[in-house]
Amino acid sequence: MNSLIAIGAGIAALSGIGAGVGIGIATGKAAEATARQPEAAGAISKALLLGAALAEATAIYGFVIGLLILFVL
Amino acid sequence: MLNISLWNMVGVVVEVLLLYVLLKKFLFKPIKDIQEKRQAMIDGQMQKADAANAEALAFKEQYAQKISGVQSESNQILEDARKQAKNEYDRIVEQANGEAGDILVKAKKNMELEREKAMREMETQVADLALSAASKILGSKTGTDSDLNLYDQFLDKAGDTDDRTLN
Amino acid sequence: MESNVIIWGIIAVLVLLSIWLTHDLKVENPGKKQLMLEAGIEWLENFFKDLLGEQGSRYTPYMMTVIIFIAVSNLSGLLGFKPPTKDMNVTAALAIMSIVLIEYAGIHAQGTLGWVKSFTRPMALVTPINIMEIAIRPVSLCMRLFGNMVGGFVVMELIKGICPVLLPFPFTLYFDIFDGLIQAYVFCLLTSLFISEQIEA
Repeated sequence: MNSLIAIGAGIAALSGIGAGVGIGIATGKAAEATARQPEAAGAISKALLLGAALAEATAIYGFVIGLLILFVL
Repeated sequence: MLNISLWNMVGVVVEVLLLYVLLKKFLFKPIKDIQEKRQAMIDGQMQKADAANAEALAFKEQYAQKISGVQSESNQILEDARKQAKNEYDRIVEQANGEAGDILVKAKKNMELEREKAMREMETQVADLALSAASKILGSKTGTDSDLNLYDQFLDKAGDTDDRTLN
Repeated sequence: MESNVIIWGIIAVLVLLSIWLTHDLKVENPGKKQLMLEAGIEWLENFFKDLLGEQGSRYTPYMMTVIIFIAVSNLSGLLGFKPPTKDMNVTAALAIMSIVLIEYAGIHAQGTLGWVKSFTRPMALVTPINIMEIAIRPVSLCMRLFGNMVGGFVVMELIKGICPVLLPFPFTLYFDIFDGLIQAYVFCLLTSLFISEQIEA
């Protein structure tokens, strides 16, 4: 049982992949945009932070679910 | 950490609301007050500066007006003086003209009078001459010789003048 | 329970600090301390005013309070306290307050009828999703803050387990300071965005 719980938590942690890819793409595009239009850096970084926070949420959900599996179940 | 209890959450809500009230009272309000005061002070100073500026401008206007007034006044005075001088000049010239005319007229009249006087004198002389000639003719009555002589005499006496007038 | 005690401590420290900072404010010739304080508060105020717009500027003090509270809570881990934001009760309470404020802003700005109607926008089909968002938004806010703090804490514990000397230092810089401030920023940014969305809808 214990090992199954650990495996479940590990699978839940895989949600980090999506978040990593998403934030990577977002940051790359933001860097591109900043290079193209340096004067809009403030607005771009604000949008990037917002997008990164939203993309990161999936990873956080996976992490929290992992914690729940480990400690509550 | 993961177990949720309602009372804990209510406690947190109360605490955050309390923090909100306290921070609003002790942090945001004093800073807002001080900024408003500073803004008011700056506005007041701006207003004062504006007023001083307007006053200075008004003074400048006034001075400019005064200066232009002085200029026009001096122009006026100059004009007046010029006009007066011209009037005086005209008057003097006219007077002089008049006087000269008078003198001319008087001189003409004098000349006329003189001539008339000279004419009259001449006429009286001629009459005298005629009279004396007549008396001489009447007195001698000695022939043609004496007549001729008399005639010559007469001619001698009057001829010059007659010649002159005739020629 | 423990986090409530720490929150009381944070409240006391913040209030005393603000009293100390504001007790000798001057209109003319402000000191360095006052200038920094004013610049910081003004920066926060402008940040939220930009996000919330003219109509939402009444919510600015609350958002400033929340960002200061979350930032101080996240950074309190540096002083050896257990950060209150690592307790799901605290983040859940903050998220519930946020969603209440968001919906209140919508009702205040559009009227009750307009607020109810706003669920059918942009079309009637998405109404269930819009209603679900009332639940999803606070859960997302709560979990994001909580997960980030706990995740940072767990990673820090693992690093400390590997090598307790010197190595945790750069990671503390990232996980505790940078991440803590970024999460406070993100929490308030999202709440403000939702509020302005409700106001302008």
